[in-house]
Amino acid sequence: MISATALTRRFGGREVVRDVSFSVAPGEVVGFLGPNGAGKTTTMRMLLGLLRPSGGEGRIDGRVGYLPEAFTAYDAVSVRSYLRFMCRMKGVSIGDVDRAMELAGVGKLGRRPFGRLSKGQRQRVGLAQALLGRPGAYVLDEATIGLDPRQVVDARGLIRSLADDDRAAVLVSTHLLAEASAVCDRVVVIAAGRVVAEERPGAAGDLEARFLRLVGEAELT
Amino acid sequence: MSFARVRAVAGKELTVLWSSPVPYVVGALFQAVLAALFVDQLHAREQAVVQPLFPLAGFLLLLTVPIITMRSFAEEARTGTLDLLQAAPVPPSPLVAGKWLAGWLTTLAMLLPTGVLVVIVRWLGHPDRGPVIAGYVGLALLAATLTGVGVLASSLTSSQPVAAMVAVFGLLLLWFSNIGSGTLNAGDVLAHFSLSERLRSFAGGAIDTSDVGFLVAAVVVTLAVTALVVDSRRLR
Amino acid sequence: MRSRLVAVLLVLVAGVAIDVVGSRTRRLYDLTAQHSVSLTHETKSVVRQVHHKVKVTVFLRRDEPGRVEAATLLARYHRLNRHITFKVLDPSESPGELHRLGVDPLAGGMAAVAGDRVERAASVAEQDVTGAIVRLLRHKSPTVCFATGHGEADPNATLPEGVAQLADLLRQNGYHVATTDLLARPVVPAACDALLMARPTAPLGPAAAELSRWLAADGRALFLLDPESTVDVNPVLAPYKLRVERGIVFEKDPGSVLSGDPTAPIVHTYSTANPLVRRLAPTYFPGVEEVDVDESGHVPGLTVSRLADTSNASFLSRDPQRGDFQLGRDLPGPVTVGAAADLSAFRGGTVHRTRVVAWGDADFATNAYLGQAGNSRLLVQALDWLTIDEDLVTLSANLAADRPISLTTARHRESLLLSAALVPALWLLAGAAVWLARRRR
Ligand SMILES: Nc1ncnc2c1ncn2[C@@H]1O[C@H](COP(=O)(O)OP(=O)(O)O)[C@@H](O)[C@H]1O
Ligand SMILES: [Mg+2]
Repeated sequence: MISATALTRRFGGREVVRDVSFSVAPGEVVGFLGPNGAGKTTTMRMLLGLLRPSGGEGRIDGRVGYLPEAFTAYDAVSVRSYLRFMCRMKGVSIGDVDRAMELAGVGKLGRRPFGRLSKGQRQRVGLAQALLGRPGAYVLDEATIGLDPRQVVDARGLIRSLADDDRAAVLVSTHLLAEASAVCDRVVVIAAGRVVAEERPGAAGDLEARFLRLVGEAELT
Repeated sequence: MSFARVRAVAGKELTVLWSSPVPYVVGALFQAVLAALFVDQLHAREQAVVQPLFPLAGFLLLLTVPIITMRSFAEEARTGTLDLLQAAPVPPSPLVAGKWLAGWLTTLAMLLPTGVLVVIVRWLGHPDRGPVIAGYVGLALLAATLTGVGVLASSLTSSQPVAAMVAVFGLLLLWFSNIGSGTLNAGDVLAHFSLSERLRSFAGGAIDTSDVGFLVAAVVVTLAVTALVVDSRRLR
Repeated sequence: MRSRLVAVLLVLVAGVAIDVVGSRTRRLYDLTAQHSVSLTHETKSVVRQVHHKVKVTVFLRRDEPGRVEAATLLARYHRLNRHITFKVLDPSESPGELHRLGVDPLAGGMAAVAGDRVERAASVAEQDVTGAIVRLLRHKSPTVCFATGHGEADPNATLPEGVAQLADLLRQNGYHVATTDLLARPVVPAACDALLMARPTAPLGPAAAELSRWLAADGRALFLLDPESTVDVNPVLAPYKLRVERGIVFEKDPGSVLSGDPTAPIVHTYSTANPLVRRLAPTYFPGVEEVDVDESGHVPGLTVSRLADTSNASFLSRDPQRGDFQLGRDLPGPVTVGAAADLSAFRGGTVHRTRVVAWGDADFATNAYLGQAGNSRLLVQALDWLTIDEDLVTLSANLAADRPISLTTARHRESLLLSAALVPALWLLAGAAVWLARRRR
């Protein structure tokens, strides 16, 4: 269960996130959709306890798998050692490393130092790291960024299965409509720090028109 | 605070650190400068004394330890890997303790080859064993304190060079605070914090519980403050 | 979150507590070979009494043994009391300071300055440093009374046979100098901390009894006797197991006489730990008789030490006209020419201490010979020993051992090559190896 209640955040007087409320139930994938700079990352960081809200409250029950927007690990550390290290940090069994590597598609990269991976490979290590210990909630910030089309499809399948098979609550931020409509049960649309709509994605074309209109409206007011 | 986590953090830090050129270059420079200065001392004194080794080594550590510790928190804060650890969630204490431990072990590794200088003195004459033992105990404790200060400085900023400079500056103030106590008439208060005076006591061949207590306490205090800083910087 | 803050604050408090407990308990584990770093309780109690600046300057060459140990020792004084500061100088590089502080450039040693008062010591052991500080703390300088009235050498006479230079030397070393005429009034004044009787030539008469009485009552005296004098001081010295053996020493070792005169022996080394002759340069005695130590029997609390012996080739001639050894008449060498006695007892809650130094010659102290070799140091150290503060006598006089090395050019180069080039190269090599191994992955 992930829930945001009237989350607000100001940076030096500028209100970047304002009165954002929504929740993600177990078994549900919620898309957090909005243009660049809308406040998605800021909201997620407040949910994770990495940023103090100026107002409101964010909560995540149980362990959470987090994939940050610009994921990076330690260049000198091999993929497997990094994942083992993260297991120890999360306090979960080291035995989970192989499963996470397989699921994220980095099964063959175990001995490779992180610094010598491609952009897409790095992002998948980030995903693997989030999967460790089968948490009950996921916060994935731009999860598919830097992946090639094949991998995007795989990643979306993976995200879906987290909710469907593991009954996890999954919050995925994206600025891509296609992504939202492909995997999400529900979409929370944010623009200029405010939630402007919350609905089930229907046909992609329909959503796109609505989205652009919503964003435009928000920017006008 | 689980020791398994501390060990994991320390192990990761050691891997990262020793995969970079930093410890090798710093170790080589440290050894070369220290050896040149010390052999010169032997030449001038014509006595089999090891005592001058320790103030020299201590002062050089003042400049090298911050280079070893500067990346510990600053780099993780800059790249964002610290967020992942804190979202894991890892409380600050095992992070601080692990990073300090890695820095301390690295510094001790830097000191290990200086033993060749003691071997040289023993080859040339018959030095007193007391100052060798007490001096290295003092250096190890000093290294622990310096590492604590270095890690603290690194937690204050996301910039490695700034962290190193803050640490060197702070350590120089501590090192010379006994001089300040004389001129400022601040008496024992400033001198109490003088790292050079503490080290000199060890180098002379005596282990004084007040010196051991001070250096250990300094480690504990700097690490506790670092934990506070890391935690408060998390929630900004 | 709140509990974490509390935990961190607890750790902070614990850290401060460790420091406070550490500096309160202050246990010292002295690992040095001579235990030269630990300070005794006596020193600590003395150092606590210092309430004004005391600047200690140590003069030791950079290559002199004990230099680092002296610095370490003084650093501990400084730690005990911040009023005590110190610096260690190389005498060859700071002749100005040496001159200003009146330290003998050859002997070196230390000077402690408080205000305009200077106290000096020839070496830098705990005994010396604490002794100098005690003398600074003691506002009144000790008084040396030159006995007169029985033809003694005159402390005001500047003729070669006078001892005016000795009086000046003692003043420079922090003593008050007075004279006391024991013929006019055979009572040693209470103000005298030590009595110096140099070459009496007239019988002592009632003064002998007064000297015996005064010595028995914790008196301190230096007797400089001479073969030319016929005055018998043995009744005064007898309780302290010292005895003057009349005659004149003939030195047959050509290396131990000055300008070929066999009646002017040089003493090169002193085989005793007595601080009176510690680190003393060779001394030289023109015309000297024996001061024998009676080693029979045992007097509780009495310690007698022979201070200076002439060589094995010397002998004491009973007939000053005859320079050849005659068995049965003369005494074979080595001949003791100076000795010291310390009679200490603990009575009625206080330490009672009598000290006597007797020397078989007085000429070495006269204006003619005082400046020669170690003669002046011998006299200053003798009076220091006589007047030293009661409490300080148990202080360690542990001097650091000489640990010479011979750093030949080849060894110097090898040392540098090994430690400053080879080891750093190994560091860099290890770095390169790691870099290569990582590239291959
Ligand atoms: N630490 C910060 N200080 C000041 N402004 C910030 C900070 N972090 C984010 N912002 C601002 O907040 C807004 C929202 O940013 P973000 O949440 O990263 O957007 P999104 O993730 O939706 O692209 C942006 O305008 C950004 O410039
Ligand atoms: Mg973002």
